[in-house]
Amino acid sequence: MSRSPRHLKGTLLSTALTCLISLPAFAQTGSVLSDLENPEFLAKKRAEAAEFIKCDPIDGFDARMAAYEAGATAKWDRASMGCAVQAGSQALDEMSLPTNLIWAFVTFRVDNIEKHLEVLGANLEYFDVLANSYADHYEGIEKSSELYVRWQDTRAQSEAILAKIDPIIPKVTEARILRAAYNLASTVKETPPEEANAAMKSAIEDLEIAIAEKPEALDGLSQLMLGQVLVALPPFLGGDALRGIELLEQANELNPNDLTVHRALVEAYMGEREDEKAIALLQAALEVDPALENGQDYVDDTKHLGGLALRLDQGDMATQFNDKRNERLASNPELLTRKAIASFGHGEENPFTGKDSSDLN
Amino acid sequence: MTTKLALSSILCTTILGSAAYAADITVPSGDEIQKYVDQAQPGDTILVEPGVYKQSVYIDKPNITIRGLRDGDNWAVMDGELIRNDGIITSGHSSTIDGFFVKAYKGNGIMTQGANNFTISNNYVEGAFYGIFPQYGINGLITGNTVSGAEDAGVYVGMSDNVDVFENIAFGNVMGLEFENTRNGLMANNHVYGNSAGITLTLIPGLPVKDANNLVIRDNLIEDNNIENFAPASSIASQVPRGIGIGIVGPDKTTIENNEIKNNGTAGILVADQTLFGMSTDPKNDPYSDEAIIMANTFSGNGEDMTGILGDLIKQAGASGLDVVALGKGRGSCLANPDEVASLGTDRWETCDPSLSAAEMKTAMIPGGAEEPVYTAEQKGRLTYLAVCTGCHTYDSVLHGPSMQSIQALYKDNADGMIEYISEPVRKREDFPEMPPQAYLGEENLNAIADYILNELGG
Ligand code: HEC
Repeated sequence: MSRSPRHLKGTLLSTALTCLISLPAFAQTGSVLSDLENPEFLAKKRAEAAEFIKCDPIDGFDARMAAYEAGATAKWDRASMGCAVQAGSQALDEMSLPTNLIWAFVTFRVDNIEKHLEVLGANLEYFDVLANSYADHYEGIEKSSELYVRWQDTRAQSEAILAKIDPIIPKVTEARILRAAYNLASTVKETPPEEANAAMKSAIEDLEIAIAEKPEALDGLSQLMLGQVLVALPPFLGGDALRGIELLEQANELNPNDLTVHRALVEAYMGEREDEKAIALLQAALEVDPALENGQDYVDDTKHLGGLALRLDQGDMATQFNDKRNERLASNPELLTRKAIASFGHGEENPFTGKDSSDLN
Repeated sequence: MTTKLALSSILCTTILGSAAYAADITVPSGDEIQKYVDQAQPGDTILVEPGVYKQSVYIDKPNITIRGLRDGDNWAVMDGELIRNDGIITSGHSSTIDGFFVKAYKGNGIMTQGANNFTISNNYVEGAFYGIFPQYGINGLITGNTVSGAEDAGVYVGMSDNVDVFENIAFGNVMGLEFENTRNGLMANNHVYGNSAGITLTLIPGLPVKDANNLVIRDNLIEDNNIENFAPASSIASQVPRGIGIGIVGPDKTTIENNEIKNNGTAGILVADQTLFGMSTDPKNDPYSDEAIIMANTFSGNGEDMTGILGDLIKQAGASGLDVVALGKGRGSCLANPDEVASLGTDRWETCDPSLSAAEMKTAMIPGGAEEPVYTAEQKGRLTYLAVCTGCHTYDSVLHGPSMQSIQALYKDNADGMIEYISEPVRKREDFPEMPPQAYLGEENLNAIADYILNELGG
């Protein structure tokens, strides 16, 4: 299945909700966690992780592209998807990019532009896969080192592509949207808050331009991102929930089968206490054909939407989301259920009942 | 600020039956406390003589009082030597833990797990990740303690109900006092100073308790909470903004009244949504802080040395010297004297009606106490695993010890071997610290934990 950045989805759901606030500072020795944060130990663990996650080398453009095509949507397997996205990024090294669009048409290289955007889109999706891999509460050192290294690698790959497409950004709205998406997606984790804030600002600028230039680009991805940002920010920092909701509604119109948009818009309605609209949209989400979504996105989104349904006292809907999710899980056993397991005294499992409290019943 | 010590007597009256046979058991200085706990009968009081106890203690029967005897500066000292995870843990109902000096544990100084009708009083807890940490408890009193140096919260009331936190002193912690995913709590007459954030009321995603509400913060002195946030970067606490007196992040129906809130560099009170902390979202949580009721308090000198990203955001908005900052989508909040309070983001707030005052509220505890369910072995296994093992082990990654996934593989079909190891660990891996022995948990519990790990835990 060939992928186009038009199908980029999921990348940014949590992005607009990125920490406005965080202050990682020095660590004092004492707890298990702070012991693990001594810089030498951390450096050692990261070096081990880098070694451990190394992909098998692949040579040649065609082989790399084939590896990319084969694995770049495997969102349930961060190791194999990581290697596929890496292979695709490496393949681009051998692909030149005309910076003059007319020249591109003359030399039949618009495909090259498309490929660059596509592989960049896959890198951005990979940020999302990584962000979803972090534990809810506390992460052990091996896994946190692995995620850190993958995050930095993905950043480097994306920046290399962005550097190549930079000259065409004024001419190709899609490229501008992906730059904004990079700024948002790459700063969800592993980023000092000042940097995340600056990235958000520059993304907002790009998105405003993109929406003015070409609102239908990438099926309304600009509206999805900007809408979430405007909903999340407080008014005195430029937030505007009502305009945010309008943008999300546009995104939903342009891309009615994307459950990620449903999630964002249902939550935005709930923030404004527009429960009836939220419920109607949940109903619409139930009608979306599961086959149109990446399997992992589908089971994640239905779990989330089902949880929102419960919060809105729509038990029946929650059951329907749960049934659909279970069906998908049954036919694709490789998909992650994301059962959270306790650390530091607490976790999602209820110790009295043994039930996972995120279950939809 | 008057004492409410009379309240602890309510607990005693909830104790039925065995009181008639209650005995005092004395632990001689330096002896193994667990031995005496194991012999104790419900209703007994264990008196621990001054001295140093390099141990962990676990209580899993109801109605035990364990009291450190003190002779001037000479305390009963529980010393974790920075190798043990927990000081004193109880999962027995109607437990009282009183009068200990607890220091140098890696995880929890004093913890209750699933224990109702608890009292934690007059202890001095230094260091640890959590200082005093009651979890899954209904009806409890935390009073007269001093907590300092916790990398998370000094007093951390988690997923509990009906808890009073009275007359404690909290300084030098990342968070001084915290109610997390807790319903019905009262913090009164505490002195909270020199933490990164003074008092936090939070709703954390991904936990079995999905809400937090009816929390009253009254008559406290909350000052100079400006120290650098020293929580490990990988913990949620590292995201707590520095320089705030009180932070409300997620809970509904919170009342802040008659506190003296001064010299907190970033802001006096922060009201924000759960999403502010950059945490994962939990669709079952209502992330908005609704009905924050800020009655009359005494504010002075707040917001004069704004730091961190919250400080930056306030500066971007062109403000400073703020007593109250509201960043979220909460509804139904109010401020008692809007003209006298420097605030930002409270445009939609109303003026509080005097009838909302909580000045007369005496306690959040349940008259007559909470029920005391007897836990099954299965429940005990899960509770003890949570309380003890998760301090050093996670499921799918190395923490302090190897992952539980790898342990499951090692001990598949060999529960006895695992129990043997837990009771008397030997050094196996070069690049790991030694695992401290867990025999003090008792045979029954160890069986339950092994059963849980080998047959239930996992994805
Ligand atoms: C203070 C930290 C700490 C606590 C608390 C702790 N462990 Fe460990 N555990 C370790 C360390 C460190 C190791 C690795 C020791 C080694 O390999 O030398 C370990 C190893 C183990 C092993 C592996 C044994 C083997 O044969 O390789 C098991 C089983 C185990 N722990 C079970 C538990 C259980 C069950 C609990 C809760 C009752 C628990 N641990 C609590 C630190 C801890």
